[in-house]
Amino acid sequence: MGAVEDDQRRDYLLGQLSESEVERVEEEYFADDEAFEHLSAVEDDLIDAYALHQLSRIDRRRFEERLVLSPAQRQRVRFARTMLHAVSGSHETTQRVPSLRGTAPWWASPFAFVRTLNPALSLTAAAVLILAALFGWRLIHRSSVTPTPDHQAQQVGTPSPQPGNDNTLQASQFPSPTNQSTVPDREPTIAPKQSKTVLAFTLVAGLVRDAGASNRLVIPRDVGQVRLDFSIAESDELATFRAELRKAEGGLVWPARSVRVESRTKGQVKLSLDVPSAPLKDGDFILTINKAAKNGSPETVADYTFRVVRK
Amino acid sequence: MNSALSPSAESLLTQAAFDRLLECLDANRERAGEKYEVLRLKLIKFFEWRACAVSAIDLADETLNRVARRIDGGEELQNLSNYAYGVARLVYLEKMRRMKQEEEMRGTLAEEIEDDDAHGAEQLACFERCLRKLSDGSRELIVSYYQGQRRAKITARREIANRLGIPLNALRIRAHRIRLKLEQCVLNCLDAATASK
Repeated sequence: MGAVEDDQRRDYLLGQLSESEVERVEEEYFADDEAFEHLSAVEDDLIDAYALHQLSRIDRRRFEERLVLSPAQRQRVRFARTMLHAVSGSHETTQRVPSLRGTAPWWASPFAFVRTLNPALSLTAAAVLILAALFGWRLIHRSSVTPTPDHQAQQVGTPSPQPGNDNTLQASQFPSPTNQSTVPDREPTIAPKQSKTVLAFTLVAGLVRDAGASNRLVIPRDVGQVRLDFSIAESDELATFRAELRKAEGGLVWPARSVRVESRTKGQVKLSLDVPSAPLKDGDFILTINKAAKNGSPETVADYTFRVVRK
Repeated sequence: MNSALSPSAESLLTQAAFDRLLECLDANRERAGEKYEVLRLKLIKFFEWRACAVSAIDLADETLNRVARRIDGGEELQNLSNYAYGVARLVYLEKMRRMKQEEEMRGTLAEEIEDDDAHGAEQLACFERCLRKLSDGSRELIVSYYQGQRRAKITARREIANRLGIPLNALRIRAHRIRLKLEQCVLNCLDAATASK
């Protein structure tokens, strides 16, 4: 069986595949990060088509039944509408952006053309180009070097230059999926083993980034763990909470964990969360507190922004 | 609470179990953290793409918790991603029993997107702010990639790929990654605007 194609990915997202085909798509993206990114890019295309009313009536219904079920998915559609309106129609936004400069080096131009062909044709064309380069090099080399007995003796044991390897090296410098990290750029988020020193901070609610004065955490290097204390308004005495810590610019720092209830008074709950200090590097963070709702869906009840300064 | 999450089961996930899960992903702690994030994102997307978007994050975390507990219990896993996929399917089947609630939500959501155009100006302002925050190269790429309509857009993308010296598929992935950054930035901007009201 070959790799999953884009049409199949699209059908997967719209719920049009058989169970065995669904499993094939899912097994592929769980095993291969690049396949996962391809599928996510196909989802982008579907969202754009939906936002621009370019889907057929049937596909539109399928899209709505599967891919706009949550607030986050609805926001993705809104974002798509905003972006497509801004970049494809808005004069003000795009006139400030200079036209895309070519970044391919001059010697890569023939290879750039080749890469846009279908795979079989591109392989043949690439092979022809490499052979032509090799032939040209051989012609030049023969005309510039006249072997003498001494010269030949010096050459014994010296590997001859391999233009094929040079081309391969140059090709590997192209920013293609096969030589790029397929893992999205994220800073390390997991702490190494820590010392036992624990430092506690009390957080003030709010998402204002410049509330640094009230939520500024100065963490010395020798601190192993940080305890974050905070209060939220909550009258349900049986409510349970989970916390998720992210960097302000995005990226998970500490996965969703249960939050410890320290005390409950009328309408207020005091909570605390222990976090290893290692992932808390200099920068801004957002701590999101979710309450487990009766219908199973988590509800965000508070967000805390804080700035970390490591000393 | 009748959901795939059981608070008592979830609270049994210990630091040691989580540490062992990371060790299974990679011996290097930092790389393990990155792989954990990728796996978690795949699980979230798995549930979203299986039409369980409303509780996708919780279901993904429940899956990871179960995987971690199995490893902590001494299970030797040859392929963690494959195993996590298997557990996710089980969690999905359990959730399917409670799908009726999500079917009731579907009827209102399309209308909610249309009505929300009142906040379009705020979205646009945040989008423009976030676009300016991108590097020049990323900004140029994303604008050029999404300009134009239909066939003209396809032709333009081929030209962009040629100019950058990369295959079309690689261009698509690059655009997708930049788009994700923009989306997150716009989300943060909107949250900040909401919080300041």
